[in-house]
Amino acid sequence: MLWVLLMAWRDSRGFRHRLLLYTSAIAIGIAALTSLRGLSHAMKEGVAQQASELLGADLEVESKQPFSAAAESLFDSLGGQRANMVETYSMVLLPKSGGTRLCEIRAIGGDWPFYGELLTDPPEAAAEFRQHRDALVDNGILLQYEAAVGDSIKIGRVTFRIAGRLLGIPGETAVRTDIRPPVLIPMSFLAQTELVQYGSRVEYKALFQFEDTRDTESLAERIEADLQGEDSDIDADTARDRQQRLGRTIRNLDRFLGLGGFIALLLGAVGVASAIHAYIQQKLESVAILRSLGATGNQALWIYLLQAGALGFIGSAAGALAGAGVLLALPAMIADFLPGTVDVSPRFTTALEGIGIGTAIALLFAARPLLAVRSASPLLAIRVSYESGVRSGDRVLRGLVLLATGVGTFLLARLLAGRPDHALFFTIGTAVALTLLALSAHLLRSSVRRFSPRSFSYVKRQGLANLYRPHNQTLLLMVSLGLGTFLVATLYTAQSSPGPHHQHWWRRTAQCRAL
Amino acid sequence: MTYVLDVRDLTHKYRSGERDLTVLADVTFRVASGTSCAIVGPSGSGKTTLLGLCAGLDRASSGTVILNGQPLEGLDEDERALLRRESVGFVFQNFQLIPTLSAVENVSVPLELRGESGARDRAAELLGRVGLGDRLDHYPVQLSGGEQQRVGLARAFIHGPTILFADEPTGNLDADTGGSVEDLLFDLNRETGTTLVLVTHDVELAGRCSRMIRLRAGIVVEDCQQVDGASR
Repeated sequence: MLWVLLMAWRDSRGFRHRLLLYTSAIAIGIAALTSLRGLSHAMKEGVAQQASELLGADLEVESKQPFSAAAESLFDSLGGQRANMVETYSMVLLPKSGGTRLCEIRAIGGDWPFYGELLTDPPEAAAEFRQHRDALVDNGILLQYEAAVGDSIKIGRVTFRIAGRLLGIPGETAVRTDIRPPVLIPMSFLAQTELVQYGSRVEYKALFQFEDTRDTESLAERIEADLQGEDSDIDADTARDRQQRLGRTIRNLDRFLGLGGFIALLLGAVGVASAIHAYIQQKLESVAILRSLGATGNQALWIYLLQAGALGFIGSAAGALAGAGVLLALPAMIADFLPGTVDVSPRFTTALEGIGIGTAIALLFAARPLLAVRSASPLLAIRVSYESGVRSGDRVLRGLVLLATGVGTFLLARLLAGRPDHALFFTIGTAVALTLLALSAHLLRSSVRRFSPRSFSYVKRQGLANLYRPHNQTLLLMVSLGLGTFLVATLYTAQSSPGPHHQHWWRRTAQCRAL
Repeated sequence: MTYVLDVRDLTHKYRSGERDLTVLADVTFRVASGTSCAIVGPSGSGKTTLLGLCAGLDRASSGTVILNGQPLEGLDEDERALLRRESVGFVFQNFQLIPTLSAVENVSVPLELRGESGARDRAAELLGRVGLGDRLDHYPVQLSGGEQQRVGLARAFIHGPTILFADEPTGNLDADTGGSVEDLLFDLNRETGTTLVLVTHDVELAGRCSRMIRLRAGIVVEDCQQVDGASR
């Protein structure tokens, strides 16, 4: 084994730069994989840790009608602390610039949010606006119309003083507020605005915070059941409901990111397989010399297997390092899309996992081209043109390697896509695409050979003939490029085709739409 | 008299399109230990094919090759490789040094494959013997053709093989360089007592062997002892 190690090192001389270039294929895949998985982990944890902040309360009851007397009576009996919110939409006017914009007007009564805080500039505006005829206005609007704190904003029939810039609302993303910029006003001025009239699209919300650790899920169910008659469209929501819904979206996002990572890695693996194939073709003569001097097939195979393993390991380690760098840069890039703050610091375990997966996948995809080393005849040492056949034992081995590659691809897809049925479909789809590409390459070669017109110029005839001449790369290139295109197209298709659950959820919550 | 190589009724065919092409037909000969034997013949007569079959680099369609007492047809690829490791040396027409290994590393390979210690020292010593003591760490690409073939000779003899197969050892060299390589080959052969089987077009080179087998179209047409061969 020591000799094999020594030979693997010696044999790589003169090829190390090229081998390092090959590692970039797997490095990019692992960088994408580790950063996407790191982001996914961080988002799951962030949602779990900031569950109550997603709602700003323990319980939210909403209705499209003002709450009935029975509802109010029931709310009074609940105890705890209550806040009210009325949401509607209206054009607002910034008199200084004359700018108008459709905004989401939220009239706040009480101390909502109970969890998390309104981020404002100046910070004290978050509390002070409730006491006067003041408004908190989304920062985007102020920037757009060059308005400042202290300027006026007209909402309905009332002109408010802008008390502060609204920079953040618990559980809401910057992207969501870009689409429907919020303006917060005190509840006591809502009636004067005359925005709530017959036909207005209004949502009434009662928000509760409970000191005790009561079961808010049961309470929400009870409220919906008790008020079914009089407040038929009532909907009670808890922080846990919101967390679960967001969790489902996070899981879907996790699967999508996992698919992205998987495809990036698979592209890297296809790159490694192509690179190793080309590398081994150049090495067959050296292998034949070693075989003629007495090296066994396994000794020769191990030399190149070690090189492929080292290539996979170095590429994966570099990829994990790059992935950590990307992950550190992500918060700044995607902060606007995240509800709340998400700690996306790199994890050692994710990096280790990436290195393990990258090395294994590089070895798995390199194994098939590496088997050419085992089949290489020592006769090549005296007959350069000799083409080794495939020994029957190696045919079985090739079949096993192909099977292992399929199983490995499935396991990786299972790990990253989350669901076994998705993983199976994806693996089968990839195998079918691979087979079709190989058949296309075969068809192209035989068609060009048969039907290439003799009237073509010398250059054209030679160019076309190179597609089927010995040592041509037609199959390799068509499979590599075709599979790459197939994988990227799959990712785009998945990206533009959210499932029914997604669509429903995206309609319902702004946070998830932003995600 | 013991025979290191015993070839009996050796026939080898290739499939060429729809028909079989017979490259060797019923070739039979034996090579005694410590002797030198040249296989000569025109291009396409089957010389290199015969060499490959005798060294176990390929399998014959029929017939028997007994190398160092071992019938090759019963051995698989790896067993034949192990037999070559123990008892066979090669000198190739186009030198066949491993390009990524230095001269001393190329020469060390046969000993390293046998797991012997001190391979580098012995390789350096033998390279000194062939006049390349100052070129140990040079790579093949940094050596001339004659120097590469001398490295090839050192590699062929380093593990003390029972039999040495040489395929046109001077075929890629000019007359002067070829002459000195020939001298070195026969000197080392005499010193080590190795059996030499040599394939060549070169009648003069063949004349230095104690025996000459002439092939034509895959058939042995002449097998003669040369009284002034190896002793010359």
